Amino acid sequence: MIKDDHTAQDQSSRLSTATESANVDEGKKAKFTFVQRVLREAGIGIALLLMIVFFAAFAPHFTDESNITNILTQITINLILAIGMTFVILIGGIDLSVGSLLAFAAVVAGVVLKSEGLPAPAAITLAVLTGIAVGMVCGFVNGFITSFWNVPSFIVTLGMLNVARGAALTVTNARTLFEFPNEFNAFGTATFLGLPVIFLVALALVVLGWLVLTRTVFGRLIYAIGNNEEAVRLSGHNTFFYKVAAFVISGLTVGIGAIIYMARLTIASPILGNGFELNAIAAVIIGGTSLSGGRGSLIGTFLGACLIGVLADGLILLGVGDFVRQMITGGVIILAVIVDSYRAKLAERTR
Amino acid sequence: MLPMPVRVNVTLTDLSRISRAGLLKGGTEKTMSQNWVGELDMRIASLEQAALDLSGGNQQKLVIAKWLFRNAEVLMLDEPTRGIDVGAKAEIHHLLRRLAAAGKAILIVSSEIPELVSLCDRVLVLWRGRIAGEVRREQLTQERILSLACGESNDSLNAPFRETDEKFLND
Repeated sequence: MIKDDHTAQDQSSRLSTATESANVDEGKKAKFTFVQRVLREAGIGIALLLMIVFFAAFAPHFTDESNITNILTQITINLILAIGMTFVILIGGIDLSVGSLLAFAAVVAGVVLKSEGLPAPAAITLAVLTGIAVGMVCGFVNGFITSFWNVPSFIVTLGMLNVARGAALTVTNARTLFEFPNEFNAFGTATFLGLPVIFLVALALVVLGWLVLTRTVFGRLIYAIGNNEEAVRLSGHNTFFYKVAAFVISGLTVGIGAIIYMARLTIASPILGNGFELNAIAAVIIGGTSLSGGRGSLIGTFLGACLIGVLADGLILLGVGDFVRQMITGGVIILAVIVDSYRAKLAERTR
Repeated sequence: MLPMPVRVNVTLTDLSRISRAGLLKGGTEKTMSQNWVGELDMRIASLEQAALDLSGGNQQKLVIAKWLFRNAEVLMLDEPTRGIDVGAKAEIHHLLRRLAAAGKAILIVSSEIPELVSLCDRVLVLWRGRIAGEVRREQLTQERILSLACGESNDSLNAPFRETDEKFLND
């Protein structure tokens, strides 16, 4: 700093003094934001690691193979829904309908799965496609209404939450569907290299989604829209398309989640997925994605979902009751938001 | 302007140049945005620095870089030097002259008369929402612009607008 002042004095022009010192300031700021960025990405990972170490030390059987498999299985559905939710939250929206949509997609797929006269492989293929299609169509409706009439996605998807739940109940007349083909049910408990296959599917989706968000034009624009939609529009991009697409992706993950959930439970019930939207949102937020959009990552979402799963599992093993467990989980979500606000304030101050 | 890295801001206007089949080419993006940063002499700590953390002058340069990246032939700038320091202002002026010399058409809207006098080849002065007159480089003075901006017509006091409007259209 002293050296800089010296060189500045050497130069006769006042103008260059100003630019020199501005230069130094900007360099400092950039380093600071870089440190913050590292903290943001690693913060949640460190929290998860500490939690795992804590439970490994104090919770009996936490490190047993069967318990780890159990955690991974428990995480799966929430993780899958949280992937789509990340896309929606990144564009500055929210999708409250995923829980009900999961039930709706599941019962429709269940009806197809139980349709008579179809050989099992054909029925399964058709059911998977139908489930995913139902999710995507409803996601499209969410996205279209939100973007076309420019209304808050909070309200639109809140409406869809009710519509989808009602539709699910109507389809089966409030009954639960079961006795699916064995090949289908086996998928829910299958393992590969000791890991649950359904978790591996979720993991593959995380990687795929991460690649889309970080390595494609599509992902670039999802982030950009969340930051400043108008600037993206003025740069010549069709923001409508990308906003709708984010909701369709959420619907897609709901469809996949519905199929996997059915296979795991071996049933399809219209009351499935109650409150799942809140867990998915929690995973995304704990993962460091900003609710106002434009900032966050799928890796964070993955870690957030893991953190929720590990916390729930560890508390059970510690013998903490269900009621207290809910309170602690809620506390962690609030804590994550508080930490996030400090981060935002810090970023503001360095600006 | 986005609270995203400089690199992202520069390339946003034409993503097809840094992608193939929808996949971003990270290396190409870096080289291309770095080129424009160098070309416009932007002072940034790194390509990853958020655009919002730049100084006003560098932000203006970034906005210009965005459209040059898209190979824009016509640039329309609304108050390009408002709120930035003298040094940066001089640099922007220099840059605009350089771009004009390279064949770009540049339209500047400015309320700062010295800026117009030092920068423009042709100035159209607006008064009460209409074109009050045109001043060419040869006759460009602050007084000329100011008097037109106050409603004193180019030629006659009686029909100030019609005539100049037509002149503008025939030009």
